[in-house]
Amino acid sequence: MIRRSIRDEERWVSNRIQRQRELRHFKAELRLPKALFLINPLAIAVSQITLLRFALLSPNKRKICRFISIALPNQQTVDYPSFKLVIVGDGGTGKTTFVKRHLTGEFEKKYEPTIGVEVHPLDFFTNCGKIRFYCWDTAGQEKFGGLRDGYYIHGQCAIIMFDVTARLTYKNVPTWHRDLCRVCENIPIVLCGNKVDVKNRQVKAKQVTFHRKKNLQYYEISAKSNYNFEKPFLYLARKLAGDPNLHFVESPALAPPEVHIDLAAQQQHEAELAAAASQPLPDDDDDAFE
Amino acid sequence: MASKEPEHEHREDQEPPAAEDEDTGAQVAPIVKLEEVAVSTGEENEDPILDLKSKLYRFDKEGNQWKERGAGTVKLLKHKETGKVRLVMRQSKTLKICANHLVLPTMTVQEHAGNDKSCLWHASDYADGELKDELFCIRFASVEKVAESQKPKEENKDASDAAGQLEKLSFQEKAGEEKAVAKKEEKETKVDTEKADTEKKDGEPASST
Repeated sequence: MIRRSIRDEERWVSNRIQRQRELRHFKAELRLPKALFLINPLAIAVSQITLLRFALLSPNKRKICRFISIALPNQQTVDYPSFKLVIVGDGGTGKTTFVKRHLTGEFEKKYEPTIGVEVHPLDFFTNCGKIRFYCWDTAGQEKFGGLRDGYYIHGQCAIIMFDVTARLTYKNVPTWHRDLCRVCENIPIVLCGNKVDVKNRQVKAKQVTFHRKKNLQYYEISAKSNYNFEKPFLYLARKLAGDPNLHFVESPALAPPEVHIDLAAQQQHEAELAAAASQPLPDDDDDAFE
Repeated sequence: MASKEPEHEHREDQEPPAAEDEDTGAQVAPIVKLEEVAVSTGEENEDPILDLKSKLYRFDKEGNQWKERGAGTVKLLKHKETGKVRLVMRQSKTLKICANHLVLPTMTVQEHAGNDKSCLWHASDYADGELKDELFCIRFASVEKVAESQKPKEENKDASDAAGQLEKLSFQEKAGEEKAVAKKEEKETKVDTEKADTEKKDGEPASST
């Protein structure tokens, strides 16, 4: 009996040492830009606990969760200004879709709730050089919330998103705002009413007043039609740099290197083309281009 | 060479801060000081031989589906010295590059089975600064939408032109192919210009934090 408890104790200590070693290793891997201030032992320790909690979830959800630990160490430092941008709002308002739209151009129709947080670097070219937003795309759904406030630490700017076709998501904006402001004081915040392309709105533009009370910037956006989709980033960049004239410019289109395509590859490409030609385009409805 | 030179410039996407953008945000102290830098499009030594509004898709082989890549302006650019032709497409508003690849003699442009305003091809794309094999599909606006959304500068792009955009693109790409073939024999020249381009890239100014 006693022996066993001693063994338990030993195991506990060795586990603890192992955990500390992992933590050190994790911290060493982080090496993030100073602007992110991520090297916060508390946040990391808590995030490890959260990861453990996520390990109990289904394998599919776990796959998404793993991103939390993977995303951070993989972020390379950049030699141009970068900012931590926190994106919050109810589940299903389009936070992930909005970020994805900017990242790859695609518009994801399928709803897959974000678990915890996903961090994506997003670069923009401005007349004042290249800048980067590390977008902390957080879970909107309560049950997948993960660290919550832990993700807001050292946020330098934020987007609060709601869905103009779902009144409740607007009603919850004050809660998101309050939670955010408890952690991040005096940061520029943009309120975004998403899905304005939908005809049956539940929240009309006139009914949106919260931003006036709390001094936020408001934009009506649509991740689907790209309406105003650049405005939140442009606004935040201007505020962070204190330059109202900052604007996006054409990034240098470098000369593509010469490529040699052999006959076999070419034949394969043509076969692929033939197959792809019969697949429908995702938004084949001849709508407007902007 | 081109049947119609595009007359509008690509600057239309760079809109000045709109008056409607009332700033209701709180006064916050800026956290970085950024200096204005010299901006290069990387297209200075090229002439546009095609310049059109369009929507670009890339084929997701794993999911066996087309995915949007961007909506904006597609250009075929011909190098002033080497005559090399490349396709560059930029997303409107953010002006980011969604496609950037050479137009090669090996390229075949094919119509999309279900949409006569679209065509597709394969390319080694350099949009992200590394070569990636991509299947692209491009869709042009309908006649009405062209008329609706276009700026006065584009008024010469009338109905018949819009309808013929697809053929025009295919035609011009073929023309580009011929040029590319001709240029194959002058590899040295090309290497030189490429070097020049790389140097330009390296000189890209970095701003302070």
